[in-house]
Amino acid sequence: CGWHLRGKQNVPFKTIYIALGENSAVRATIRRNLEAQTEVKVVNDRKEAEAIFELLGQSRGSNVLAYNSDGRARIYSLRLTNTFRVVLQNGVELLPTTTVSATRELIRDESDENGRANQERLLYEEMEQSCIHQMVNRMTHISEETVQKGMHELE
Amino acid sequence: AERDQDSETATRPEYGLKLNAARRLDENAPSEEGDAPTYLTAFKMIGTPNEKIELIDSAEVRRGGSVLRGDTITYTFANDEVYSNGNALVARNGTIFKGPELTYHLDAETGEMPNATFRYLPTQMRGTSDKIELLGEGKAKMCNAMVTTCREGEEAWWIKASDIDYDELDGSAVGKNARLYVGGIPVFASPYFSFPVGSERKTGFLTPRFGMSSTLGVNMEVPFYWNIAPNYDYTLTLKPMSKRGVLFGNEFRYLQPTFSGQVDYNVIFKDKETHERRYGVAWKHYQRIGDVSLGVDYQKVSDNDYLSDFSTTIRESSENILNQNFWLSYGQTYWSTSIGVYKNQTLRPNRNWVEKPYEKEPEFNLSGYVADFHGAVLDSRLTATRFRRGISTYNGLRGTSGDGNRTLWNTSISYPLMGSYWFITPKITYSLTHYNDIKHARAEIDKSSTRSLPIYSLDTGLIFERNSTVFGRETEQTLEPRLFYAYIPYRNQRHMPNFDSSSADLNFAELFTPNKYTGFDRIANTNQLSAVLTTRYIDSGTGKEWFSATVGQRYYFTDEKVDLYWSNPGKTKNRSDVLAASQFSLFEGWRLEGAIQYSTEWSRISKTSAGIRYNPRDFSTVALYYRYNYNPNDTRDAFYNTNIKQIDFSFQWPLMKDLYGLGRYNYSFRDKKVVDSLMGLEYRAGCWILRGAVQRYIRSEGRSTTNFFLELELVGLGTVGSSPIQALSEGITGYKPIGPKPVEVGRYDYYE
Amino acid sequence: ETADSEQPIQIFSDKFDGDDVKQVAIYTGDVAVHQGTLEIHGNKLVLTVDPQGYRHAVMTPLKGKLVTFKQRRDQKTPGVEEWMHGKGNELTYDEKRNVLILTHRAEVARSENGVLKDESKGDKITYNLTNSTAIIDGNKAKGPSGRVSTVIAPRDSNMDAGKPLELQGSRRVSP
Repeated sequence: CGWHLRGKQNVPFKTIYIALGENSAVRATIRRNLEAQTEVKVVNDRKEAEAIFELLGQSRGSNVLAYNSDGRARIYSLRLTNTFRVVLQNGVELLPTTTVSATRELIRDESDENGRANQERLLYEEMEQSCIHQMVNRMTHISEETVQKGMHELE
Repeated sequence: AERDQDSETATRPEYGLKLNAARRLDENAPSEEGDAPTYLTAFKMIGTPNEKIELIDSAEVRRGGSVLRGDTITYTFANDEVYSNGNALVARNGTIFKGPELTYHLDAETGEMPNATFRYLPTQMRGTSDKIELLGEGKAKMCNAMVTTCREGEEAWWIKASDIDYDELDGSAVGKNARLYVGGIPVFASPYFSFPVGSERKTGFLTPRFGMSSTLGVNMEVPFYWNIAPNYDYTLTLKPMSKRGVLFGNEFRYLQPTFSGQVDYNVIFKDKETHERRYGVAWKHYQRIGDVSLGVDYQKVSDNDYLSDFSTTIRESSENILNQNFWLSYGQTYWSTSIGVYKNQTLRPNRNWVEKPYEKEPEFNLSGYVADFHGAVLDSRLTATRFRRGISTYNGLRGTSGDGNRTLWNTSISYPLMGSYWFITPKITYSLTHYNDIKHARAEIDKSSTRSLPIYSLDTGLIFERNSTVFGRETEQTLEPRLFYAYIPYRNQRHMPNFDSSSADLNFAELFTPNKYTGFDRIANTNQLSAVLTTRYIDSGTGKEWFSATVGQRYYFTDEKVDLYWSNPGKTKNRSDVLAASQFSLFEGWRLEGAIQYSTEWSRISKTSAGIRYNPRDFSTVALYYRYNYNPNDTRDAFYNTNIKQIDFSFQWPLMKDLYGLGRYNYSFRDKKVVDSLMGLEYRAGCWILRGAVQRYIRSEGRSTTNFFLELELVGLGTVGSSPIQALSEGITGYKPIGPKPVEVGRYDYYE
Repeated sequence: ETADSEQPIQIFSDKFDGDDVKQVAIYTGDVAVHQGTLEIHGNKLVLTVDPQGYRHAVMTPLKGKLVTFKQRRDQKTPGVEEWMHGKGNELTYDEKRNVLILTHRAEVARSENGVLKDESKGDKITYNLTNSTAIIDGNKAKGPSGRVSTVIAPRDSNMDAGKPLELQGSRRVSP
């Protein structure tokens, strides 16, 4: 009933530069996903790239969702948000500033402080992957005419 | 804006200044205030060139960022002076001054305006003054001035001051012998008063706060802010409390290019109830010297109940592990090293037993990471730690101390391969752990021991896709099966200590992690396979995921023989609990989400977290959540227990124009008690906002705290009274305080 | 300069026909009027003399062009040569009041050593030749767009320091 293996998505720019640290795990993961899902080539020189991925900000936060009958925090949520955008070489925005986020819930046990810190690290790593997938999804859906419009914006 | 080279000969005579097309409004284009031309307009002009020009009938003079207007304006070339008579106006930097007449020197940007009024457009702060002296660099001095943000004729509050130093750029001001009138009654006077609060770091009394709480009684906070230097400031807050006495709050902040930090010292010398001196200290510091960075995060309180007695929010009062950390780290692109001392103060409110986490005196860390070594990911971490805790006693029982040293070296290599519809990530980790100098109460724990073992894992999956239209939307549906296999050989760890390992809470992240224990002291043998199926609905236009559902379970093919402590592990089941989660956010403002865990052991749902939220626009949000955690093995007393069965209903909704109702009702079915309840109202009337709230939350041993908040926010000035904003933000999902958002003035905003 | 009014008036044109009885003289075709430093250019000049003997002239330009005049001012500061320039759809010279009246998109500008210092525009400009003051009138009926405007060049940065501005305007002023 229509299911097929996902093919490569066509994206209207051929080269992209990811403005992150040279050894950044996020940069390597985005590169692998983009080059796997599209024909885009990730280049290492900002000036050579048609499009530029800019990670504008990351923020982490936690909020207590439930207290037990003794007023102790028992369930709380972790939240990771990534704000990013994609611009052309001439500065025109292909993908305006967008925020993606992931939230996970965690049971907290008073007697296990170390356990909590380790579990939080584990959850943040998994949320990071989820945010990267969402960002790649948004990038692979940049439409052809936004790129054309962007290119001729200021000729 | 770039200067064009010589384009075709200009038709108009040049002034040595050519107007250029700028691509964007350049916020920081050099303002040529000094050598800008002057533009004069009026219905009639009589002028002797280079001497005097008289502009008659709706006259206007512009230069750089300043605009002057008047019925008639006389401009004298010699002293560059403008005399404006009749409806005189000068607008600059976002502030507009109006008066019967004005003398103004264009170049020096100075002038004088008797019986003037002013208005700062971004915050609508306005006022009148007997005489306004316009000084250079956007400053002005006003004598006998009245300032408010209320509309004409509706002055609910205003400030009178003998003279005000006013800053046009951000509309902030410092008033000398100022008196605050609310509803015509003088409520507050101060020789030196800076406002609006917070926007400009000016020395002076900040607006006082009042509050009522069942634990503190009627209380008041009077903060005095001292701006010692641009990068140092100090705030002394006196907090008299009817039930406790006077608390002195000291906050010192420092900010330098290479280091910054904050020191807090709050002390009450004689608490009326406990007749002791009680204090809370906190120091946070961060410093960077080249590639070396140094940090301090230290907190200490005088006694176990200090936080729960003196904090005003439920979250603060439930903290009981206070970090006392000092660390030093040095980082390069591919490797980094650090050394630190990590101690803590463990609070045991009303003699409840809280396990004190091990302290690390010190912990040394050396780690290397390569994100992409010809496609592979290399990660190696060496950590050596001296664990110290001393003997902890509880009701006379000697706890197990177990001080000792641990050195571990984990090295992993993984090779993520992926295509458009598949991925496969093999990963091998080699873990080496050595314990020495272990002092443990239990006999079978060796003085020193070593464990080395490999961890193998393979993560793979496929992505199926089809396009369809759902609810009339072009949608890409995906079906993503994913398998995660892990194998860890058995190593006997019964003779080893356990400093920081515990069993992980089952969740989707944990399904894809080989070791079922967190921390580094227990590595469970396993031969397991996790299977997860996810489906997503992605909007073809934007790539936004508006629906997803995922279900997963893990299968064990071997008996687990490693126990967290020293009892022998129970019979291993061959399947884990089933996890399922889903979210639906197609319609604007609506969000439906849910997650359940089905326990195969008790063949019933053991965890549920489900909620629906409607948040169509700012200040309008309704949320209903149901949370359930069932763990029959957890029979500990109320203090520790993690069994939860609660609903949480919260809302912020406009009842009438400018009147918002707020509420939270968090009821626990299991304890048949209201855990946290809150009712509040927010009323906005142009230039003032009244916020009131009553909150009641339970504290330890069935006691509860009731807090009353009443806050009057004078828009553009600051707040008076005790602020419920933090309690509301924590209690109500999606709560946003009403009131103007702070706005910074761009060069091109409010151009006259 | 103030001395101009004592200077003889010379009028050049392609064609001339005078009517002494009605005391009317009409010059047409590339008309130029010189009096001392004062120079007026246009396409057609109608010169009449009123009973008290004061001359009155109306100069109109070719279609699409403008009538122009320029006159040097008395030198106040040494080394600074000040010139006044004006143009408009129609120019009237009234000897009795010794004024030039420019109408319909009238412009008057002042330059120092060839550098334009300020310029005024309006519906009607009455330029007094003796004390070189100008009265610029707008058109209230047209609302704010009917206002007159004056632009004064930046004061301190005298033009010589910057790119010397050769006054193309002056060549432009005479058609």
